[in-house]
Amino acid sequence: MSLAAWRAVSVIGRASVGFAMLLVAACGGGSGSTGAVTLVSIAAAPKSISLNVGATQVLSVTGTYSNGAMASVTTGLGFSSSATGVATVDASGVVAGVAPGTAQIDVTDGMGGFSAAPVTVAVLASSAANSLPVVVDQGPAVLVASGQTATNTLFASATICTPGSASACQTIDHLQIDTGSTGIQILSAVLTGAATTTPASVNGAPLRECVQFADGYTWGSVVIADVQLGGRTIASLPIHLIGDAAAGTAPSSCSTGAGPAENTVAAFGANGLIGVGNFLQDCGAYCATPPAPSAAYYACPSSGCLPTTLAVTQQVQNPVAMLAADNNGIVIGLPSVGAPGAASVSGTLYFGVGTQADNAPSSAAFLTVDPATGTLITNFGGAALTGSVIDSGSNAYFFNDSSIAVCAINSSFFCPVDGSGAPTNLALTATLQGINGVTAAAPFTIGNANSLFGAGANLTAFPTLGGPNGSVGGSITGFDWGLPFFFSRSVYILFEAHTAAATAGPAIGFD
Amino acid sequence: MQTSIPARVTATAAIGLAVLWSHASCAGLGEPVGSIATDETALHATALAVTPAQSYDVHDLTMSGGASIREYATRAGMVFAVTWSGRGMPDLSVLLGGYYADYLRAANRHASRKIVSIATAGLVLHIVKLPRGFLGAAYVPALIPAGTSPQDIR
Repeated sequence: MSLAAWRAVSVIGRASVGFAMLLVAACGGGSGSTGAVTLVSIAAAPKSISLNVGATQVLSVTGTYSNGAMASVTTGLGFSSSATGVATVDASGVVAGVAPGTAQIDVTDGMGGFSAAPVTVAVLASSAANSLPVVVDQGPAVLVASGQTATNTLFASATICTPGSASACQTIDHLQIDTGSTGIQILSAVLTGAATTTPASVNGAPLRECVQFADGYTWGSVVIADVQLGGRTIASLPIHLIGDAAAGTAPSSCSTGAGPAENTVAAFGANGLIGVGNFLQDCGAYCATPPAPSAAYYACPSSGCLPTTLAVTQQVQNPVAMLAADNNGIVIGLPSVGAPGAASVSGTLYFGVGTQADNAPSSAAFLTVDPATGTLITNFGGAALTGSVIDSGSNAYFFNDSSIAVCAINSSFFCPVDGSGAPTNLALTATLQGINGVTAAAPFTIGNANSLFGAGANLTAFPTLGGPNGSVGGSITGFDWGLPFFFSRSVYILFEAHTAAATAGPAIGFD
Repeated sequence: MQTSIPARVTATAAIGLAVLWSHASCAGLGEPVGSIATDETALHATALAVTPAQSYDVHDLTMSGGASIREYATRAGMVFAVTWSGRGMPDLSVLLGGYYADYLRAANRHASRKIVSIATAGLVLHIVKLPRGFLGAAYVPALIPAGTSPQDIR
C-alpha cells in the first residue's frame, strides 16, 4: 500500500436510510358542505418515520372539517403497509419495524373515503436509533483514485439536508470520525447539489472559517444544514464547508506559514470529518472573546475577510451534543482485529453515555481531561506525559521511545526488529491518568510497520501500528492513543458540561 | 531527506555575522536575531523578556491570541531552537525560517492530521495538534552551542 498513509476514513453503505420524506399534502379538496360541519380531509403524523428493527411508533391522524376546524380522528380509520416485510401497521396505527428498508403506510377514513398522504417509514439497519455504523476501510473513492489508501481511519456516513426539508438530502460517505476535534466539516466538492445549505453570517457578512491542523489547514464557509446521523436528526446545525467557491481564497492570516492547504478530498484524506470530541464547540470561549483570534472565524464582507469573534452558539457545534436526547457523549465500540490487520472493520458509534442500555458503561474507568486543552496524562517510560490524547483521528499509537527503531522508508512509523534484525512485535504497557487522578492501565503491542504494510495490499486496519511522537529536547510531549487503541474495546467520550458514571465531563472512559 | 541542511546553516551563519550583536530577537530558526519590530509584526507577537542562560539567550514572546513563543539564540545571535504552545499556530514560515521547507515536505506526507515529526541530523521538529491548541518545538542540532543540551530546550 502506498505509505502516503492517510488518516483514515471509512464508509458505510447505508442505502437510503436517509430521511424519510413525505409531505402530508392536505389532501383532496372539500367535498361540499351543506351547512353541517363535515370532514373534508385527513392527515397522518409524523409524515416520516425512522425506526429500528423491532421498534414501534404510533401514527396520529388529524381531520380538517368544513368550517376549518381540526380535530383528532380515532375511529373509522384503516391502515395498510406497502411492504409488510419491512414495516407493519395495526388497526390502531402502531407502526413496527420488521427489517431494514423503506415502506409506505396508507391511511384512509373508511366512512368518508378520505385518504391521508402516505407516511414513509425507513427501517434502519443499525440496532438502535441512537447509533451510527462506523467502518475502517480504504477511504473515499476519490482518495483511492488519487493513489492513496486510508490507514487506520474510522469513517461514517451522514445525510445532509436543506434546512427544513426531509427530501432535499444527500448522504455523504467516508466522513472521518474524530474524537480529537469537534464539529462537522465537509468538502464542498462532495456536496453535489441535492441539499442546499444556508450560508451563515456574522454582523451581516458571510461567516467563514479557517481550521488549522498540525499538517495544514482548511478554509471555507460556515453553513447551516439539517444533518441526519444514524437514526437521529439535528436541525439547523452549523457546519464547516471546506473549499467552497463562495469562500474563495483563504486570507493570508489563515494560510501563510500554516502548511499545505487541505481543501480537496485527496489532500484532506476524507470526504469530511465528524468531530465528536469532549468539547461542545470547535473553538469555544476563545473565539467568542476579543481579541478575535487569527486563523479561526472570519467575517467576509465584499471588502475582504477579517478575523471576527463569534458567539459560542453560532460556532460549529458538536453534532451529538445538539441531539434532543442521548446528547451527553458518545461510545465507540470496535471489534478486535487480528494481526497483522484487516481489510475492513465494522463497529458502532452510540450517542449518549449511560442514557440507554446500549451505551451504559460497564467497568469503564472515567478519566477527566484538561478542560482547556482536552489532554490527560500518560505514565510511560518513567515520564508523566501531560499532553496525551485518546484520538480516533490519529492512525497509530504515537509516542516517544528512542529504543524503538523508526522505519527507514517512512519515519512516521516504528519498525521494531529483534536481535537478529528481523521484524518483531513489542508488548508494552502504559498507565493513563485523568486530571481527576483516576488511572487505568493500557497494554498495547507495536508491530513492524514495514511488515504490516507488506502483509497484504488490501489491509487498512492495523492494530499494532505505532510511530514516534518526536520529543524535541526537554519540551512537553504526549502519548497519542490513536485508532489502534479503539480496537477490541468501548471508548466513552463524555462531553464538557455533562455528567455520567458519577463523573463530570469532559472525561474519557474505556474498558 | 533533509540533506541540504549543512549548506543552509553555513549560509545563514555568514549572514549572521553581519548583524551580530543586534538586540532583541525573534527571527526564524537558523537565522540571526533581527529587528524585533519587523519580526513581532510578522508573528503578531509581543516580546516579553530576554533571559540570559549559560551560553544562550531565551527570548519569550506572546502572540496576540495568547500563545507563547520561545526562541533560543546563541551569544553570536543565531536562533538555534524555537518552541511554542497555545491556541493558535504561529506563522511557521517566519518562525522556522528556511526550515519551513522541511516542515512542508513532512506535512505533505499527511501521515497524521495531528502530528508532524522530523528527526534528522539537520533538524528536529515536532508539532502536535491537541483537541484545543498546539504544541511545537524545533531545533537545529548543528547550531546548539557547546555546553548546551537539547534537554534545555523547553
